[in-house]
Amino acid sequence: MPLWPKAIPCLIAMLPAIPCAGATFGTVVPIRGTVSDIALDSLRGQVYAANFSASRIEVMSTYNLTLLAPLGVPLPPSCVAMSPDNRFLVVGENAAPFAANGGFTIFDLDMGERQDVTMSGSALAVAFGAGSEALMVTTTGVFLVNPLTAKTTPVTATMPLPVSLNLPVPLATFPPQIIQAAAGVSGDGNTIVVLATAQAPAQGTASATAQATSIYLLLRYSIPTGALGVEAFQTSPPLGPYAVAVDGDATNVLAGWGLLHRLNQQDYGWAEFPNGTGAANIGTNAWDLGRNVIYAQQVVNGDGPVLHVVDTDNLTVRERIQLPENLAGHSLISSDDQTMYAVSVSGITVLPIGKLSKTAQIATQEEDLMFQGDACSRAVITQTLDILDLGNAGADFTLSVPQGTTGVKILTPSGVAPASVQIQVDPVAFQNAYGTTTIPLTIASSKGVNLPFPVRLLINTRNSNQLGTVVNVPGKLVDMMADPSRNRVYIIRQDKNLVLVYNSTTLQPITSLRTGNTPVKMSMTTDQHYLIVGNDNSMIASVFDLDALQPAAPILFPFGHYPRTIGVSLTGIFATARVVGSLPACLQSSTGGTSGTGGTGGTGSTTGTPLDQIDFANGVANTPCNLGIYRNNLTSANGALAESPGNLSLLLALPDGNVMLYDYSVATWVDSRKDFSALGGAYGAFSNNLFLADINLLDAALVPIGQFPAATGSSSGMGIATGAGLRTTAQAASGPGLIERVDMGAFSTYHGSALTEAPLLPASLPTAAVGLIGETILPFIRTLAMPADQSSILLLTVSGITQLTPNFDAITQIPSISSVTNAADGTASVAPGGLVNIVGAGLAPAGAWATSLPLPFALGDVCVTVGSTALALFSVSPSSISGQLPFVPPGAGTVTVTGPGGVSSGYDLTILAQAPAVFLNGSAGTQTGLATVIRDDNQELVDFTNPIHPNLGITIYLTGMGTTTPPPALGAAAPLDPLALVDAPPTVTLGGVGLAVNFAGLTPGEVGVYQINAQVPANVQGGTSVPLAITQGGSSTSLSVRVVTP
Amino acid sequence: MNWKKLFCAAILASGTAFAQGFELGAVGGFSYAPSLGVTASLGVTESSATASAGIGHGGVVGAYGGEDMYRYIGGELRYLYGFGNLQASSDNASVTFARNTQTITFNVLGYLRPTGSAVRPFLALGGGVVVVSGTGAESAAQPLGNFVALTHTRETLGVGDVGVGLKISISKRVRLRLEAHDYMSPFPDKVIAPAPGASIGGFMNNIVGVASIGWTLRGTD
Repeated sequence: MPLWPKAIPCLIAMLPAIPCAGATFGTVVPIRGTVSDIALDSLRGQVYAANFSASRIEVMSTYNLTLLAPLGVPLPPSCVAMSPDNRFLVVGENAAPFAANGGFTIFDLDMGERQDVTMSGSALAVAFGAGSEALMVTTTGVFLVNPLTAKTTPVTATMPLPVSLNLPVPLATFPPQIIQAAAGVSGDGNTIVVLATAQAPAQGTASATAQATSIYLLLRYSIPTGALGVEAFQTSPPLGPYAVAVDGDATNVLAGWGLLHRLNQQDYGWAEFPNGTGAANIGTNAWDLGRNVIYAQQVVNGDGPVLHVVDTDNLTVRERIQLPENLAGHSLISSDDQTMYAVSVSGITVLPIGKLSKTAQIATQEEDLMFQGDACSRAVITQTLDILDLGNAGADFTLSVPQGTTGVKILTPSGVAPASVQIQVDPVAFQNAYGTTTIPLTIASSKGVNLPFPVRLLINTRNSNQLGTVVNVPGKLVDMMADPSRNRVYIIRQDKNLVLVYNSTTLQPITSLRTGNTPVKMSMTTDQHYLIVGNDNSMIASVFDLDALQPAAPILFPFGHYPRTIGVSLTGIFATARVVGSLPACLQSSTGGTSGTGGTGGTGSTTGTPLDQIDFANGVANTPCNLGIYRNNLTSANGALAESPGNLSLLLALPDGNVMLYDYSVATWVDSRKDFSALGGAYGAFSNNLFLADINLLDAALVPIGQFPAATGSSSGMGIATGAGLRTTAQAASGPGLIERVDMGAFSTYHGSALTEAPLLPASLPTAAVGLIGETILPFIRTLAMPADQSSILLLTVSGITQLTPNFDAITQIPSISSVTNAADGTASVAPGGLVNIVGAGLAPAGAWATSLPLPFALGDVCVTVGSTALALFSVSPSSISGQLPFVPPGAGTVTVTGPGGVSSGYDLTILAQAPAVFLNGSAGTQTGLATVIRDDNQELVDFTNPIHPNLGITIYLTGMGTTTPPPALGAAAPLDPLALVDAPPTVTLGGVGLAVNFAGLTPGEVGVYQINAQVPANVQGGTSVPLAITQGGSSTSLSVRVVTP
Repeated sequence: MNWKKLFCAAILASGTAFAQGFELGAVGGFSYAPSLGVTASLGVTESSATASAGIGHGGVVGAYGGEDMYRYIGGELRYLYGFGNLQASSDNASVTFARNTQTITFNVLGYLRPTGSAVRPFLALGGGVVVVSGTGAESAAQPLGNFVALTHTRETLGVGDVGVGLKISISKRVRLRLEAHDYMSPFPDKVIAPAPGASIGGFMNNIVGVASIGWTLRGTD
């Protein structure tokens, strides 16, 4: 690889936000000149590159990527095509400077002959399908070229003529900017698709701006039928790059940044690449039929030369691959699917896509890492990040957090994948946030060719009075709604173009549904069978059958309309949409609203932001000319629609303060008011007569009737629980957030409770654009959902979902402790590392149990400390807590319980170095409360019917035996290898006769449970109640067992 | 004393009888020991409950040796090995536990007919020891554990023996005996241990019906 192309990405990397890494994918073959098109001769192993500025065809060997002797052509070659039998190379040619005629040259590669043909106008694109003739698009029309005879046959179509720039052109003008056309062929060879630019037709009513906008032509030529279909359309931004990728049967065509889907003989805008500038001369598209992916590059501000590997249905970005230089036009893939050849800025770039999966690439197993601290413990939290070596090629990695970040320590910041890296967070550094601080962890690799997605470090430092259990859901979550008839909640994950379906009780994922590109908001049909999702980069609304959890036919929107939010009423379904292009004629009327008295409307503009109405039965949307008495031209596309309970009415809120109301009973829009200068945040309906827009309560006529305090922060979510309203607010994304009840009669809030982390806010969601991953954040957001069974309140929060109990605001009393005993025999003797029971009142708002090891230090919003050290907790309930004492020094200690109700008074106790206590929780048959002494011969508890005999081994389970070597971490399972032995060996006697102790230490896999393995001697005395005594240090415990001799 | 030693003692005793020209025989039969009532307290506020427990029924085998020292009086040493299950039961539960018993008794036989008679009814009266052994597998969840624990252990008890039978001469040297004995002993409360708070009262009667074949070295007629 030449040195200079490698320098490009690193030069670019000097700019902020542009990735810089050492490795790129692909090899650049520089060509002196500018390449306008390429063709592949798989028979001879050659790629023919049209060197537009040098007026010759460069020949590159695909075996060694060297340039061979070029083929001369008389005029600047604008396009090339290879016949299917690899015999003919057809070269289309532009007119020379100051000339009107271009032409084409046919090379018969088998016979070594060539024919030069002159024609009027310039050739723009040429392609062979499965037929024997090439389709050539020129500035004078469309022709079929017979390569054997060089005869041209016009293909008749009524269409504007394509254009190109006349030569000479200004400096630094490149072939795609001159030619402005590209061709692609379907995988079956039956369809040739050409994207070209046409002059804007004369339109008497068109504005000057519209006239300046290019009109694009999409030509579909069917080789079996000879039919040529033409569609013309405008785009904004320009539809660059000039590259066309076609799927197997031309059902889907990616032209520039737009993916068009053929349906009923029409093309629909199925998906678009977000963020692209539409630059004509940079970028490419190629459809990998074998792998069912698209390789694409678009010019994105802030992004370097990056090839995106995307899904073919909705252009979801799978991977971002670093290129040695920008691609610049036509790309093609070899028939064996192993190599992609692309025109690039300095020649041809060869990408061995068949080896991409074996090329060094870095990724992480986890998208997010959560570090959840609590009010009791500010101990360092450690999580493990798994670095994956996708290509199994030993890629190196380097992890970093933004400069200046404190409290985060990456134990192994660099290494070779695969690897597990421990990341430590000191909650003290974040403890004043009382919410979740998000820190991006960047992964870089000098050998890896991909750009890994950063990992979110989510650091929560909640206080004891902050409510809610957080379940991590990675990704950009922008909308949530509960299924009113199923135990599900739906969440839009915008960065992956998905609707995530979760069980609303367990919060376990059920499935995910693929949407269009950049889903924004969703709604449900009134029969609750279908979910409708608006997509900001698709001209369709995705529809899902909720019974089958499968996609259904989408709603097709007018060309240029991108649905965002959906509102479903009993008599009409509406959608706000981003609209690009002209409005229907009835909306362009300059007289609307201006006649009569007092009319102020009627701008006469051809553009605007109408509301679309969905005909769900027929799967289409249209644009009504009016919304009742109101003109259908909204002040913004950033509004949001919400339904009232029962879908009786629709609220439309707009960011400039406008609100509108649709009434199902008259099936029209009945109110439109503007009482505010701005609106955003929460929106929805508490009832059919009470609506919320931001902090404003509106009555059935949308008249403001109340306002919530703004001091609690920006509004985020609203909903109804057990007849009362709810709303959430947050001051900042990293703060705690607040949930309040809404008195729907007094229009006031009450029982405000702090949340574990902040609900999502429109202001906190936007992030810097990452390549071709879409992001559309509306000013309005929906973050609160009540599941069908009303068993919990679900909030969309910084880390994912926060789950609250419906009675979150139940009066909580201050915890009080009445006793602290060891968890084995219930005595007051306790020791470090031992298990204890705390009994009292108001200890926790509800029952909660640890579900995994190590044990948490906070459970059910409760934590316990002895001194300043937290206990590891097994379970909490209002009346008792069980946990493990920390390994604190023996002596006097004070236990306090901290919960939503506050902090308990201290409970003083004496912590002994050792306090052995045998568990009394065994059961056998109907017996309970048995001491946990096990006979080794039958592995059953010792009791009256299973007595101890001489010469038997017994195992005694107990707690309170103090420190061990090695010492396990608090709350962690005891190790198996090596075993943890008690530091103070015990003595065991049975009826005064000593037992041989074979082992005394922690039971492997258990927390705070010790065991003694002992051997009963032959000379033990029998009896019904023989004392079994364990003595350790200065403490002892004894229990009676039956001993039978012999 | 274990089983092996007991057996040797029986042989020696028989040898003594044989040396005096007396009778040696083998015994087989069936035993039945009615269970005794067990009373257990159910707690402070509840009344007591009852169950029954004992060594149950089973088979017996054994041997004897003896001599008719007078025309109407004789004596013999008898060994019986019994096998079966300890048992405890209440209205709604029961439990068994393998056991064996070994009994050695010396009896004085009083005949109703003199020596030489073809059929000689007799009464037996004697005593000795019985060793009761629980041989089953112990379990922490043994049913009726609040009444008794059937225990894997051994217990030696004194035993009294009262019997009645017929001695029938089949030939000059062969005698057929049909007899029934009641072995009365204290309850084996180590093998069938009453639970704390429970009590078992009374003696245990182990009624044994056996048939014997005996040989005499020197005929009596």
